This record gives sequence, C-alpha cells and structure tokens, in this order.
Amino acid sequence: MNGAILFLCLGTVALNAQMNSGIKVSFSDPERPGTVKIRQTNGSITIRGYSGTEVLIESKSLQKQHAKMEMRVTEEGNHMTIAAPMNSGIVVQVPFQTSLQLNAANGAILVEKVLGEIDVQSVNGSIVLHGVAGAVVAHSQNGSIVAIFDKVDTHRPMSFSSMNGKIDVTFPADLKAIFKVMDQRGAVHSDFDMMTRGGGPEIQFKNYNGGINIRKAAKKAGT
Amino acid sequence: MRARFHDMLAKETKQSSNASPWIWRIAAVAAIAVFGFAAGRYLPREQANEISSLRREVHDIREMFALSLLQQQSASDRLRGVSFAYQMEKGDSQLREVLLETLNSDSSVDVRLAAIDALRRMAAQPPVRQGFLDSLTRPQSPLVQIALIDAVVELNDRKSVTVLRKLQTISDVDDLVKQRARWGLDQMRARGIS
Repeated sequence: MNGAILFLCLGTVALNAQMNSGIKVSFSDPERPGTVKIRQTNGSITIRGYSGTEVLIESKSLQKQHAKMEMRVTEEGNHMTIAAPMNSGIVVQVPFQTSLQLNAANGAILVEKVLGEIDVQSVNGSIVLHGVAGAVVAHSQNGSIVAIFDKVDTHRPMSFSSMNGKIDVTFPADLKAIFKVMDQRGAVHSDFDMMTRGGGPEIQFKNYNGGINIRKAAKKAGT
Repeated sequence: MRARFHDMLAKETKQSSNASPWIWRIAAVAAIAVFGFAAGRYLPREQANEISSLRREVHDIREMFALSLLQQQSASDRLRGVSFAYQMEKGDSQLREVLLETLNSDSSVDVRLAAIDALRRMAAQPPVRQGFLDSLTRPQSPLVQIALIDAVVELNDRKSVTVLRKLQTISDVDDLVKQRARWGLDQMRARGIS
C-alpha cells in the first residue's frame, strides 16, 4: 500500500486567467529523487527546481467559462503523474533532483534549474530548458528547442530532434562527448570539434528543416 | 658498486609496490590477456571450445543487458539500449525484434530515430526491410517517417516503390513527408528501380 491517489477539485474560478492558490504533494520517499510526469493538450507547462522536498502545483485557466477546474494527481513509488485541466497553463515547483517526463501538444514548455533527467516532447510548442544538468531527451515537431546546460552531470546518452524547429543547445566548454549530428536541409553549426573522440556521453542531434546550433558556454568570470 | 645497485633496486621495488598497486593490476591484466591469447592458439580443441562458449556467454550477457535497457522507463536508458544493440552482431534475431518493436511503439521520437539507425545496419535481413515498409504507412511522427524513407530508398527494392507511392495517397501524411517520398522515388528511378 504505497500508492496514494489524490483527487483535487479546485474552487470555482469566475475570473479569466485566475491562478488557484496551489497544491502541495509529497513523494512517498522524499529522500529519493522522484519523477514528475505531465501530459498537456492545450496549455503551457512551466517547471522550476527549488530547494524544498514537496511538489507545488498551480494552474491557470485560459478560458472564462471554466466554472470548475479539476486536477488529478497520482503518486506511486516516487512517480507522480499530474493530469492538468484542459486549456490551462500549469506551473510546478519540484525539488532540484527531480526527473521529468513532459508531453505537450500545443503549449510551450519551460524548465528551469531541474537537475534530473528530462524527457520532453511537443508537437507545436517550443521547448526551453534553462540551467539543466541531467540527461535530456527532447523532441519538438514544429517548435524550437533551446537548452542551456550549467553542467553535465551524466554519462548517459542524450538526444535532441525536430522537424521544423531550430535546435540550439549550449554545453559547458569542457564537455567531452560523442556527437552524432544530422540535418537534411538546415544548417549545422558547432563550437565543439565533432571529430575528436574524447569519450563521454553520446549526444544525438537530428533535424530536417530547422538547423542545429551547438554552443560552448562562455566562461564565467572568476573561473 | 654492485651492493649499492642492489640497495637501490630493493628501495625502488619497495617504493613502487607501495606507491601504485595499479601497476600490478595492469600487469595482471596484461598477463591474463597474453595467457588468453596463447590459450586460444595452443590449447587443445576442448579448451578452445570452452573459450568460444565463454565468448557466446559474454554475447548473451550483452544482449540481455541491451534488452533490459530497452524496457526501461527512462528514455536515456532506452537510448543506451539502442546504442548497445548498435554495437552487437548484426544477426541477432531477438534484438532485431525488440528494435522493430521500439521503432513502432516507443513513446519517445528520439529513441525511435536511434532505433532506425541501429536497424539500418541490419537492412540486409528481410524482416528488417519488411519492418521498415510496414512502419512507414502507420501513423507515425513525420520525422520518423522521413528517416524511414531515407532508409528504404537505400534498399534498392521494388517493394519500396509501391510503399512510397501509397504514402502519397494517405491524407493524414505530412506534406514534407510526401515531398520526401517523391524525392525518394526520383532517387530510385535514377538507379533504374521503378
């Protein structure tokens, strides 16, 4: 009996774009990094890492008519699934080390300061990952993908792919990785030497139309 | 003179054995490697058979590892499974089936794309060719469909022509995919396959 299911009916929302006060949900074992899974059809997903141990969820309706917003959160064995209300933006704060599985059809996805693994897919929305460090597997069919790694904490493989969106990824300058890069029609630019085989994780980039840009982060002052 | 030399030698040996057990480990590994090589060449047939069965066991362990990675929740783990599969022998039928399943049903587009790359190495096998063609007319991510078109165009197979033509008549298929299919048909026609 380690499963917990929470049904949360949020109060009446009369005003347009009103934020609800937010919900706190714990992982069953807060000592261990958990995984948060969110699937959205219409609406954006914003995830921020923070120093707490609980997951804080807020959602924002995009329509006036929504008298009642229903959010369903299930948690089992440190895997939390959040079913957001239709046509709403969702803002979630998670412990830094959390892993994410995000899926959106039409909204934008923004992730900041989350250090676990990130598996993210979108059809039409853009994906922005800022200050991440774990293995990222990202795909957007038509939106752009921008990822900025503060550091790379992993030897696990990564992958970035799109059909029509541009892919722009910034890694620490000292990253050693095996790059596999392919763009049928778009331009490819890389600050890293693609020919060196220094070991490290395998990182795949695939695009059809959008172009690929792989950057080295500028060195911070004092380092 | 000689006494001093022995003194130094003794000191040196003592120092090196204290300072770096690594050297001994490396030496041990080298010795085992040399022994293994010699064993393979000079041992009687029974022992040689034993070595080849050990080799098979190592292969099986790698296969099991790749298969279990391909079942993981984490997309990065599944990518690692595909990359393991990529390095294995091409004739492995169990791995081939799992890679084809990955191509058709993995939740991550990135993992499906990587699976196509691994399967392209096995494209001489009829089940892989058929798998590519079957997958092409299913509802799929357009980027995966384009990678599949590029793979089947290389096969120089008349069946590809039929499937690429059919692809252009399916209304749900993305325009860029149809365009790539036309490009593929032109490529094959130039090689005399139509």
